[in-house]
Amino acid sequence: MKQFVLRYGVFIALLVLIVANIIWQGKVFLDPVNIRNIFSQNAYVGCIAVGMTLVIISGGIDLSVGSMMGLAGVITIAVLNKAGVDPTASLLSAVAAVAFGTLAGLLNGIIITAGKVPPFIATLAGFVAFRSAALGWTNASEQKAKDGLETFGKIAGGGIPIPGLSVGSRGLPFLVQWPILFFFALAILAAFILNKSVYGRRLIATGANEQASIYSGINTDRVKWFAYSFLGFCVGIAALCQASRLNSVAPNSLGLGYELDAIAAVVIGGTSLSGGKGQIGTTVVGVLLLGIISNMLTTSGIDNNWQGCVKGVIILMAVLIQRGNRQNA
Amino acid sequence: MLETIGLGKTYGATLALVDFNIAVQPGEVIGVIGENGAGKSTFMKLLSGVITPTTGQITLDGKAQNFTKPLDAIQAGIAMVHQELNLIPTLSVEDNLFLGKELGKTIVNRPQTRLRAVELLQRVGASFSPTTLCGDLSVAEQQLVEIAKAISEKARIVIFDEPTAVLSDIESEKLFELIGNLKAEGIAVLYVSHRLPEILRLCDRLVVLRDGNKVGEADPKDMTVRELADLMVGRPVSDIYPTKSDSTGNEVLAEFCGQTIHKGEILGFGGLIGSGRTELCESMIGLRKPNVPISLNKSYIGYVSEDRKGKGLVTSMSITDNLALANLNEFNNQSKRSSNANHWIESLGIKTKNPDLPMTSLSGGNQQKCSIGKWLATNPQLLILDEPTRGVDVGAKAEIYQLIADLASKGTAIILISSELPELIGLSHRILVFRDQSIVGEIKQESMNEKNIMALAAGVTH
Repeated sequence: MKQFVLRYGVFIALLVLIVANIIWQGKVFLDPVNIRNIFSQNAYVGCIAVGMTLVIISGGIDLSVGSMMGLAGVITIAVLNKAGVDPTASLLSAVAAVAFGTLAGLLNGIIITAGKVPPFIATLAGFVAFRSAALGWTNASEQKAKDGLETFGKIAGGGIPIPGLSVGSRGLPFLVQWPILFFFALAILAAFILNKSVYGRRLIATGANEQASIYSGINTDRVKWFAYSFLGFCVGIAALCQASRLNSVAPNSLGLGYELDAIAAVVIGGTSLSGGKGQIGTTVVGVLLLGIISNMLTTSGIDNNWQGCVKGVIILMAVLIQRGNRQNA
Repeated sequence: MLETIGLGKTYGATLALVDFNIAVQPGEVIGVIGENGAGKSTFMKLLSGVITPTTGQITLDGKAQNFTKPLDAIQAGIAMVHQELNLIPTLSVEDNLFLGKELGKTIVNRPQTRLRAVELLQRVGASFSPTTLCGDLSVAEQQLVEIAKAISEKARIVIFDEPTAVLSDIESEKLFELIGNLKAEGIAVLYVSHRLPEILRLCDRLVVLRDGNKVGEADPKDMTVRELADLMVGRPVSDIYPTKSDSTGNEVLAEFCGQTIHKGEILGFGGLIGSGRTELCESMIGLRKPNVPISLNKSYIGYVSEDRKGKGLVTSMSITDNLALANLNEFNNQSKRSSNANHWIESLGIKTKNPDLPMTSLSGGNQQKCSIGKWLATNPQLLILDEPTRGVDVGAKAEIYQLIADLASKGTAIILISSELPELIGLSHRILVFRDQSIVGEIKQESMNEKNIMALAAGVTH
């Protein structure tokens, strides 16, 4: 019983939280729009947390993702406005966001492997530099998408309608927005990579014991490049969706603090910060757990400024419970 | 089949291996012996592609090989079972077996993997499931996985580096049987070990290394352990165990589990790995909560850990600082630390050019002397030595044995934990045997032999 609770702790915590919310808020919580809000508000951090899980399993960490997202957003809007006409402009901007993210991630990976720089330091440099580039390029001013580019707005605003559900009095179709779908698509892809692919075995091995992996003939540098690039790809998607949702990018705030939220979700999900061990499913649960708590605090009218304290306690509790798990195993 | 011609490796001015020639035939078990630093590990690293030779070459079936990375050697059919087991604890046995050479291009072919894993595990006589996580296996089981992994890629030569260092005697027997099977399949085995008796038993031929040079080949059939030790060290090793003092003091220094230890007594702790010896000692010094009554004065106890690099020494720190580490209250300035270091370097015969060099500059035997010296500097009345000669060559072993006997004759009580039975028997006044976390028997001088200890440790009645 104790083993069971410890092993599935994060799922149980999520369940308890959902039940508590249903009892407390009743219909308001179960309203499809409220549920969709929880997902759509956390899809951006969620995408990043999925990629972050792979990086952390590789034995690394990436502190640069929040700043990278800011710069990716600036690039997205710049390409969009330069390219001019829809839908080419939207398509190009999407490609630019994802390509930049992937390359920036790869750059992190190369600095870490070729330069033998500890991931914490290498990505701390990125954390500072990417944000500065975003601010310098735009003179710290907000970048708005030009008028008449409607396709761009649909990247975050559009989605797949759920039959039989509608929103508001005019009966608009209820859409599951693309960012939510991207989040789940990335999670499924990453889970597949981790659990089924050859690369997944090598990723876990690299994080658990790099020397042993090299002795087994694994090119651990390449393993890390992929992990950081994949995370960069996830960051690109998050930036694109966020830019589309707001139809503009604020270089000083886009992605601010996302690296910590993503790492927090991964840690709550039970992935070991020392590498070699982790799951995507539990990271997704970690994202939702933090999201629902945020949602609860907001609905109950607690000042936004206090939310960090609650999150801090949750993170500590998660780590302490997991440590108990390891000692009993 | 395998031949090396003039193989050599230099690091800066250090000649790690010089002009090494050897020819290996299929189905041969060759013992590679030598003191620490004699060039054994350099030779193994060259063969397994971890390092590249400075001179000479390795040929397989007459074809010159150019190994630049471990994978090259693996693909050529040379596999290595490392001393520190190189498995991934968070992956299953079958995933470990095919790590780096997974079945399937991008997606792991699970049925195929399972099938071949079961086959391999059968070949090495393992009884656990291929889906078990490696972290859940015992050390001996993990070694079986390593061996299965080594032979999975049609290995023709398997190198064993100190394979029995982590095994109990029963587990070692199983390993020898398995090596016999490999031999019968025509696989050549290069066997490196410090344990001379097992080398004599197991090997068809011996290669002796000293200071990077091959000093000779020997036929184990007509050799004794003593002759072999002489050949390794290059000088006669006097009888390796010092004479035991006949009497111990009466003053009781500690009581635990209904047992006592007296002044000047060497009390051996025997048992299989994980039988609770280290755990009891860690309780005695207060590292863990005792679950048996223990009465002693913690202020005069010293504990030399079995894990020299992990728990014994701070390897990046200087020899001087390491020797002062257990008694910093007294050695509270540089000059006191220096004179303390000089004292122990001289009286323990620690070979170093400069005590301010980091611990990593010393050989295993000298590091071990330092980790003992660190505790002697606290002037202990009870000293616990956990596997004090692990990874230490024959010459240094004899010196450590002498040191233990000298300490006891001066009144220090010694608890000696060792998995090497001859060592336990050769040094102890009395041996307590452990099984399943408790003491299952006491063996006195007159009935001290390997059979009696093993019978108690394994729980077999005879």
